[in-house]
Amino acid sequence: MKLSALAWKNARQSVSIILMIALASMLICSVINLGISAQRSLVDSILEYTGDNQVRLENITEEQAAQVLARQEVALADLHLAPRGLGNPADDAEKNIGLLYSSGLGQVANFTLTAGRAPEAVNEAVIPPHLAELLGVEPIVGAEFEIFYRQQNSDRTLAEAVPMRFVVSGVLQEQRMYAAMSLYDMFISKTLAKQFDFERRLYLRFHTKYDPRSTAVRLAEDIGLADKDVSFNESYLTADLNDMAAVGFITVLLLILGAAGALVVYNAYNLSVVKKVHQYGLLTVIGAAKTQIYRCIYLEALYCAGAGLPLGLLGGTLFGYAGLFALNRVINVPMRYVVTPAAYLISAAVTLTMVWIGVTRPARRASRIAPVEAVRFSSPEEKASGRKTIENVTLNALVKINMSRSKRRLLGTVLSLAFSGILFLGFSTVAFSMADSAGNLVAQAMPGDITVTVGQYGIGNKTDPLTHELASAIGGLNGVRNVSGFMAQGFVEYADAGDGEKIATIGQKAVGVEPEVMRNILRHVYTGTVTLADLDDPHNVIAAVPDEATIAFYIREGIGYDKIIERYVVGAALGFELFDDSRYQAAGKTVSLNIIGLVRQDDIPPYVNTISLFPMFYMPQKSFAALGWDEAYERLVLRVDDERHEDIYAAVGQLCGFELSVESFKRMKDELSRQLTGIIVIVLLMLAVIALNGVLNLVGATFMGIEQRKKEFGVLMAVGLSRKSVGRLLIREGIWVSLLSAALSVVFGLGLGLVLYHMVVYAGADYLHFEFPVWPLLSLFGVLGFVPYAVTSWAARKLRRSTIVELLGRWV
Amino acid sequence: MIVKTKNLSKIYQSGETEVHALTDASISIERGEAVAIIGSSGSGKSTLLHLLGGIDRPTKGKVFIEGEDIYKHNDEALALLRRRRIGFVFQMYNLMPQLNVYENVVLPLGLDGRIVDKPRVVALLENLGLADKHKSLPNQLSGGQQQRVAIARALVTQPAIVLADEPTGNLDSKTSVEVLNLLRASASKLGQTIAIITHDEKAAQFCDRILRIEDGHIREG
Repeated sequence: MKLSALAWKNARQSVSIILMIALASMLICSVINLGISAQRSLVDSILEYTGDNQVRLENITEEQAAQVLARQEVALADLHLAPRGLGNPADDAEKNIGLLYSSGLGQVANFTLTAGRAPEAVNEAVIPPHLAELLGVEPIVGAEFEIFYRQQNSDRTLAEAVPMRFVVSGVLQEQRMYAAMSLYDMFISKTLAKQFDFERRLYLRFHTKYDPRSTAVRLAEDIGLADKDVSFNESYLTADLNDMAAVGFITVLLLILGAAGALVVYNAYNLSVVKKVHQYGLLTVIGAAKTQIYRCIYLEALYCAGAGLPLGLLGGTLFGYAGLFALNRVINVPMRYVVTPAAYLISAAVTLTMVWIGVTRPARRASRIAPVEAVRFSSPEEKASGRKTIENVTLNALVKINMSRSKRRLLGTVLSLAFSGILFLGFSTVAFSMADSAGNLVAQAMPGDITVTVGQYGIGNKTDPLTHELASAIGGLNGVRNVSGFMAQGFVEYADAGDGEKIATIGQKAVGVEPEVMRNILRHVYTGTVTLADLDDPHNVIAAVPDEATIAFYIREGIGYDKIIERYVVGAALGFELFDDSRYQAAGKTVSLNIIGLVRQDDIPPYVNTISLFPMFYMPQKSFAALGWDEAYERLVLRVDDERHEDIYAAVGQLCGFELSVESFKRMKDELSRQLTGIIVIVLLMLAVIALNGVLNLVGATFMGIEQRKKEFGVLMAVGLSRKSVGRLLIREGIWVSLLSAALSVVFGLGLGLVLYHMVVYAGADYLHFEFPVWPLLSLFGVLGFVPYAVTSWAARKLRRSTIVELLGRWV
Repeated sequence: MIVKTKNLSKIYQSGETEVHALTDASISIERGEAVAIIGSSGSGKSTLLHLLGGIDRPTKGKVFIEGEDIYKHNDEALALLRRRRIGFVFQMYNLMPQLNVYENVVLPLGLDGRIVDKPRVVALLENLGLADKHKSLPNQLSGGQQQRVAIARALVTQPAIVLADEPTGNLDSKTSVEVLNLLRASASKLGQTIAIITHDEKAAQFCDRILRIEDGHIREG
């Protein structure tokens, strides 16, 4: 018989090892598939949502657009004519449909046609399937539908809705992100678009040899377009298929899974070698060389991997799919499942490496078995130990001796169980803290119980929708305890970046607050004492600066931020041009503001929903009136009675039009908690597979240990130990495994949890507060307490079926 | 009478066939007596020993130890009986590999919850020539030494009877004589009853009485 045949024979009997390899490779494969799917889906969604353009030029004239299109740098151009108006389905005035002409329809990444052609006649349109569903028509060419369209008047009000009939000339490939977010666009002909008052935008992508940012700025200068009309598609520019952070994360995950798998394989082969010590000893007796034995075990492992790997890859594909399906359901972000040959190659490589690492030491050990081991019957594991003689060998003493007799086996079993425990506790510590801090995260974005905020993408030049009248109506609702209104004025500052370049610091805002809020802000001023009276001069403001980490980050980015930020000090008088935003009615004016105090942005609630790199200014609302600024509100913050929360949320929604966004702290928190819980469950499911491998290992180790020690049990029974007591002995050994695994899991799991927690906080999740993982800890104790107990009880019950004569075997 | 069997029979099922390992064996052993049960391989002598020692159950018949029918007991009580009234010596020694010499010897006492009389155990080990080996593990001992440890373990509880199954079957002739002498001497010194199963006529000569077993049937002499 050749050694390869022996290896094959051994491998066929190693069902549990095959199963362990299959489970490990299943996890590895699913993680890779999920990782690649998530990454691809992210890029997909960016392309779907924002398109494959790099730059957007707004308020561009036809002549300027023509100049741009003639430039050699431009690789792709998509001209949009967006009528300033809104459509609604005939039967649903709440759902808004944007009308748009796109010259790139059917050519750019996010506007792919699945049927038909771009609209040419005024009554033709291209619609995506989710809009067809909203309109109640089939998404097929030739289908007809009607919408009601409200054109915007020159005084920024909306005209009466007029019915418009269209026939579908083409069907757009489903825009999954838009569908998920209930956003609706329909594509119309250029002729129709030009019949309305419209905005002209040009989306561009440059040839790869051109740097998009500098090229866009240069191009804008050449055609005389203002800086503020140039914006970049940051999502597209920063999206990277080979994002190193994601690759790094998946690599770390694979290393952890590979290590867990290698540990299990190591333990399984270690036990297998102990079990087959006579076999390997006999092989050496009959002349097998060390390398041959070594190779025999490697071959056996390879055969096992050969059997386990296809199972694992198949299981991993299905498990990954299930995971992605669950993730899609939980976080409501459409992700497609991407299966690539590379994923399987990497999975196979990681699995084989894991098996190779796991089997190396046991194989080396087997190759070193002396021939004498084959012909003697005492266990080769027993070594003369320096331990003290036990005067009275009771059952407990026997348990202790048994636990210490094969430290390697014990360590392998305990480690493979503890490994999943450590990962479980580590991840759930962070997850538990995250779930518990959901409220903090939401509180970072919104103060109060309910907020009403002006949408960022309102219709151009329309009157502010959040009027004082509306605020009063909301304040009058039953159960509303308090309403605070916040005014806002946007600025543009053309700051000197220090290298002669002017940087437009768009995104700055002055916020007008009520006296009570102002008093709260003044309590956080850290540059001396400022009183309300000091703010009587309407030009005096309090600047709220970003935290030091944010400042340091932007300084590192090297965009001249240091030159900008260093001017925000007490006593500075800065000049701004008021932002020509649709809602701010002071376009073209300038203002000079004096900083009389500084507060940290983190110290005060997020009164407005602007995340600005630059300091925000706070001033009394009366200053807005004095400066002649728009006094309509940017945001209302409501405090409401808990029991009336849902009713008020619904009532506010009824009162507010589509340009206002109504958000509920409770709902956001619940939704975030639901999403976090979902993610935690998915992560825990993956950990459960690692744990399953650990349990399999424990089962294997326990039964193999019993098989090896059958004769010992027979002797113990012969000298007077009852079957029950033998069972008790085994169970007590199991309890020791439980205790050791639990102790290791708690110490290292909590340690890992703390490290991960601090890493997450360091990475920016400053909303997180540490929550001691009581429930995960109790569950861990439950599982680690129960599993070894159950396994050893099971083994003990099986052992009880053997008679003493059978246990003692032929040597009695 | 320390041991008495009455019509003891054991039938094993081997597939479709019944194997009559022991048929109507009725023997009696007096207190302090050393009895050899001699027979060829497959004659049923090990089955008889298993049944005498309460580690197997008979198909028919009874075993009385000190007048008590041992098979009327459940497993738990039978284990107690083995612990207190029976000592075993096996051909392959069957020592616990993880325990040293001293621990192997006191094991039946510990399992019985009895306090170990250390001077007595030490004296027993000295008698058996193991005084300097009490910290050694079984795999550090020769076959003869291991069998002496097994004898000490069998004698330590002062059982009603010591059952030895081919105690010299794995030893060379010189060591066999040594071990049998020690077993006999120790038993005599303690007034111990012994039943030795063997296929070796020479070993049988160390006993007071010889019972022969052939095809499961016992005959005296």
